[in-house]
Amino acid sequence: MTKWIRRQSLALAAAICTTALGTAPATGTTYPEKPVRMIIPIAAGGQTDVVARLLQLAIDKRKLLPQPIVVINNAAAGGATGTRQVKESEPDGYTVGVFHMGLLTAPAMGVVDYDHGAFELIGQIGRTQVGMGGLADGRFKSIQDVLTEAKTKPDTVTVAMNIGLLPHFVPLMFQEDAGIRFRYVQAGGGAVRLKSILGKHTELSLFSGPEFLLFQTQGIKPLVVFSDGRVPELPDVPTAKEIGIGTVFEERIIAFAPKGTPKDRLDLVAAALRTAMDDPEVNERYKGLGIDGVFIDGTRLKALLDGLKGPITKVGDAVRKAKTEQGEKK
Amino acid sequence: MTLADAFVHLFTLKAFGIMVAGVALGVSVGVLPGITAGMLMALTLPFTYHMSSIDAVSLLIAMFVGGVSGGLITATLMRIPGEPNSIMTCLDGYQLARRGQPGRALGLGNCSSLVGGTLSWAALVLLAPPLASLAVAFGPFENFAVILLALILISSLSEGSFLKGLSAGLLGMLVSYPGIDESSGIVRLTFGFSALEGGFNSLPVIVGMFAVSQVVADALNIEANANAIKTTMRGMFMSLGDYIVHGWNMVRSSLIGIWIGILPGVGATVASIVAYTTAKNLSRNPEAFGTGSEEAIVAAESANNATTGGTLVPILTLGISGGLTDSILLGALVIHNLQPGPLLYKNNPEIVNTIFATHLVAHLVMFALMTFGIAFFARLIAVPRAFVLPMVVVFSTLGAFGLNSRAFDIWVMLGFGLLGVLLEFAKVPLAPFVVGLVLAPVAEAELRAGLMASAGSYMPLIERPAACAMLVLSAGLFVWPFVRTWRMSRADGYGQTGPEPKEPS
Repeated sequence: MTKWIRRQSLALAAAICTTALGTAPATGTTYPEKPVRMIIPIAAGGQTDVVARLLQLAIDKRKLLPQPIVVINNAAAGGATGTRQVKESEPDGYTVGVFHMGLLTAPAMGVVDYDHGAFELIGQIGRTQVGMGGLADGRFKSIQDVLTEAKTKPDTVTVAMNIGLLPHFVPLMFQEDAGIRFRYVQAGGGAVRLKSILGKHTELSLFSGPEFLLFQTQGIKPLVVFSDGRVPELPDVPTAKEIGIGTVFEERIIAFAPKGTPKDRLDLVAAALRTAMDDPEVNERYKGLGIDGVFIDGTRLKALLDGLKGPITKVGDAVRKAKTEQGEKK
Repeated sequence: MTLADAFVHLFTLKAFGIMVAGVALGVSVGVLPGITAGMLMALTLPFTYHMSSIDAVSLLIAMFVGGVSGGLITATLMRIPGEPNSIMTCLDGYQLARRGQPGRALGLGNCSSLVGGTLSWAALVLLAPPLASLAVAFGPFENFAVILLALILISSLSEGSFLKGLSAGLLGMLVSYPGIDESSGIVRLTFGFSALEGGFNSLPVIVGMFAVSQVVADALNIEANANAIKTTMRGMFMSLGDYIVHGWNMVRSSLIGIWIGILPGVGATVASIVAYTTAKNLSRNPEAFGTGSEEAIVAAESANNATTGGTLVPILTLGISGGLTDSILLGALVIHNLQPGPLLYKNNPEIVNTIFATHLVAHLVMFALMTFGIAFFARLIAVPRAFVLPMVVVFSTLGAFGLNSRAFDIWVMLGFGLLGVLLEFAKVPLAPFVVGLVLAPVAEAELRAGLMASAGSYMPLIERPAACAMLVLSAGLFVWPFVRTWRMSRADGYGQTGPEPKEPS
């Protein structure tokens, strides 16, 4: 009995060691000659995790890389420890990360002192549209109603948010562009914000396109979307641009690697991810999840994110300044 | 597929095999300290991609049920919680086992687990929609008041010195503070260590405090412990009389478990602590708690299993998850192209009914497996500790590392193991520490969310009826132990029956 358990625990320990040793520098010339770790800085089951795992499965199934990809979730500190783990890993192509726009919002909040520039960007592997909405039978019938109310009575319209992430930053950017002020209430992930609105504890929140489709049946109505043009699945919802407010923002799922990872290795991973995204089965699943399977390569993605850096930092600075003032008052 | 069909399907060979395997694996990781059902489910998730959605859901639910239950075995026999939610069972289960009744202690836990699980199943199947709308109506202020109620219970958890209990509780709260402040998104109290950005995760802290410190204590005393417990397997099943004696306790504790299961982010550990302390406060023999009280085991084990049904309510009705295990269940549904939430009942009744059927049958299978398992595990107690203790350390370390693949968590576990040894040495109770550790962040987040919504006004705490009612109840619970001791001391003529009350100065 004890012998059996000892053997099992040895096997387990060996398994753990192999994953832990993923950081050891590569010795040979053919890449990859051992499994590639994919670090996901969010808990298993979230949208970013599901996308990463779909691609991992497709890559393994179709043998797009000669070695398997091992998924590791490191969800501590809202993703900060996971991105740091990638940043501090050996740049040998055996560590990649998959995260979302938290890569830009975390530094803006002062949670980490590095942004997307501290990594090699492999590419965008998915994108979702986002918008704001509230209860269908609530007091706001359109986004104009919201603007009027928030303009005449600043700091009264409540917005359920997830601090430091898009549901916080996008409404902040929107209010900046529209010259209004919301009152923010910390809630959490999409479903928790839904609960907050259904229970009439808050009035508005940011949701993704697929979340709106899902939550519509529970009485949530999208009022505005922040995409460039109207979202095909939500044809009746105006964009912010249409009402004369310039806020455009999308959630992007981003694959990245430690700074200094050789370009040929990055290209191999990028090619594998891209081919996996074209897999009809994966395509079908992306559709089901409401995710645009638009691949954007590292260079173009970097330019895009660089452009978003300014407005995000501006909003983040405002939040941090307000916090310090609040702290000083006490 | 109706519920009846789902039951019939579950008893087909393949489906039944998958479910039994799930329960068995769940119970096994439950027994192993440090390794939780959540980790097992996260590891299993990729394998479920290739299964049918019905089998996948059934497997994960079975693991969930098995994992919640298995921890009581280690807790009872070794005073080490197999799962964090079995810490309360350590207190009394172990004492009862040491008094020569390990069979009775394990049997009480096992039967209570079954009853708690079954009652929560009934609540899930019959009351899910109304329970969910009640949960939605509960806003930040109501949630805060509920948590406050649980925090107040710390006062009655402290055996011996009230002050020591309170200090342990405050220490637990303090440990929960470093890391990202959930309400402002800003990193606090990390003292420049980037590893502390994620804070002290409660799992390595609890494993360190309870498992590692116990290993050290046992190792220091290794000869004496070798044959301390005489194993008699009598009392493996509760008699009808037992059910009558403990009936109300079981129902009450199960109701507590169901409701706490529904609340996001609180979980089975807190449910068992709250049920335990409630039972202690209402008991005729509160002084027996901590010395091998049957009531205590029944309360803790009915409550933690009852959270399983409660947890499933928001997943099925709203598509909301709070903890790790339910996020994984939710993720499994999403991966299988199923939309959790109210539409699930309409679009995929086969999934809802499979969840219902599995939840009940898995509890029965768990009960049977545990009954056989207990007879086997109870013999482990005769195995010299020198063989068992290193294994405990190995599994605890694996669990701490496996959580987020960080070596830092192992150091946290060892550090808090040392703290646990010191606290035990100073006779400071550990349970209030856990209450503070787990509840303070939730209480803080809820209160601050409420204050954000009310622009800083505390009035909703009084204006909202449910919140106000719970505040009043908290005040009552705070005063009650003092009143009771006072009344007892008057009735008996002496005041030695309960913990000596002292006003905090």
